[in-house]
Amino acid sequence: MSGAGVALAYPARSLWPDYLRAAIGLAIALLPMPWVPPGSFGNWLLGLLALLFGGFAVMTWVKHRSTVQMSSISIRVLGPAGRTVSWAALDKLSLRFYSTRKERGHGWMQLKLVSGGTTITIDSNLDRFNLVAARAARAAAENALTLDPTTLANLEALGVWPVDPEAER
Amino acid sequence: MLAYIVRRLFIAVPTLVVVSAIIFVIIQLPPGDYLTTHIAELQSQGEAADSGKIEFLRKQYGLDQPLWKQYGFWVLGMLQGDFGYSFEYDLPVSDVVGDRLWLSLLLNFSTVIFIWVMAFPIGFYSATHQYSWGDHGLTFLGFLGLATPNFLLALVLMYVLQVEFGISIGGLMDPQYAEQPMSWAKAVSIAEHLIVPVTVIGTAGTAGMIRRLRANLLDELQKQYVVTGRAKGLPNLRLLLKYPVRMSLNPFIADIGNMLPQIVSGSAVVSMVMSLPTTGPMLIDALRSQDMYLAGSFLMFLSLLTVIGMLLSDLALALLDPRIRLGGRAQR
Repeated sequence: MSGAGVALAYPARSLWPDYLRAAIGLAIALLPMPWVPPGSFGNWLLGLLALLFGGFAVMTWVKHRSTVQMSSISIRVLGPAGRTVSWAALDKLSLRFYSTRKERGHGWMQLKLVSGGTTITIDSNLDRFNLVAARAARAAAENALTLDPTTLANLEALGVWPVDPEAER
Repeated sequence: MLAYIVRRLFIAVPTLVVVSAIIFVIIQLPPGDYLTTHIAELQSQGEAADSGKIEFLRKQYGLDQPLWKQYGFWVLGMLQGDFGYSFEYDLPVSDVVGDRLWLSLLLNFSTVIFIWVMAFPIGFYSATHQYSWGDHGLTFLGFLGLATPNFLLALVLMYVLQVEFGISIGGLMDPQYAEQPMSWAKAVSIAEHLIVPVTVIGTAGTAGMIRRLRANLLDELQKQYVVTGRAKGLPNLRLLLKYPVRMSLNPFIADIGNMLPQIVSGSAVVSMVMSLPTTGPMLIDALRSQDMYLAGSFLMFLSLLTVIGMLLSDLALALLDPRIRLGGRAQR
């Protein structure tokens, strides 16, 4: 990787299904509202669902507007929730896998990078996610971080752990 | 995690919508409706049914409306807390159900807790003492529990306790509390009466859970990281609790979804045998008499319980073990 680094983004085609989910969820929660008496259990339940799907819509929009810039020194998220984590100051790395299917197929990964009080969360539908995961794994190895068994298993499944000492820095 | 919750809810909510439609259609499938059943009953008793009154009632209850309209009214009503009208009791469903819903919830929830509390130490002991006398004894008891039908165990227990000890274990509280509001004495009485039905309903589930925990823990104990931990001199209990037990708990949590329907259906039969004031016996009566809103509300409640149980179990599993499976595939 060059010193200038690479700029990565979430492809719109990977975010449209999430926008659709948020829209349908909001419709399910908000459309029956006029028929539900205020303050009733149904009202609270629908309100909670609306809040949840609304939060998801905002989260998807933030991802849509964000760009991830990765260099040999740091990783930076540019956009509405911009922040930077320096590889040398990486304190914690976790890689989680989620799937809503019983056989755990068609899921997605979530990479969390923590440095001091700053946390960057990146989803696997980011372009060239493997590249980010590989760089994060290298930083974790260089910083001698203790990784939990779940993160190790997921990094191994991605093929970026153990870190290849010959790989380009 | 928010993305996971939203996507998982996205499965749960349509599931409930589809379940509600299926419930409504199935209840309507038998020929006729509550009123035709009622007319047949009157005629069998030699009484004549007033056709004018029947037509009036059919209009009053909305039974003359098309099916989709009846379904729409029912679903919208439920969102407003109005579960419809029980034809048989001539009362709103919520008044008929009374305490039964939460007593069913209490019974089923207590059974899940009982299964966990009993299965965990026994499964743990069986796996860590494989092929010992204790393991063989507990395995035998487990198979016995799996092979004994709930209702039979309920009958045997009722007989033995009544004949040998003079204790009546029917019902979920002493009769004097049945119509009283909740009080400390009533809560104690319910807790005392819960012991036997929870044991009866939970026995088969406990036995199955012990077998699964034992098998999973034995699998984990043979893995390399356990051997390495032992070789490095880690204390045995700490080594066991740190990873193998945690990993073997996954099916424990994942099974809530499978366990709930079994518990709910098992508790219906046991409730009839033991005269428990839960939803089971009333549901069976409502289905028999085609009291559609009462039956539909019970079935919706049980479905909601199952869907929420599965949702919670999936969320707990996602928190406990967010690992990729080699057979699975992540979207990149």
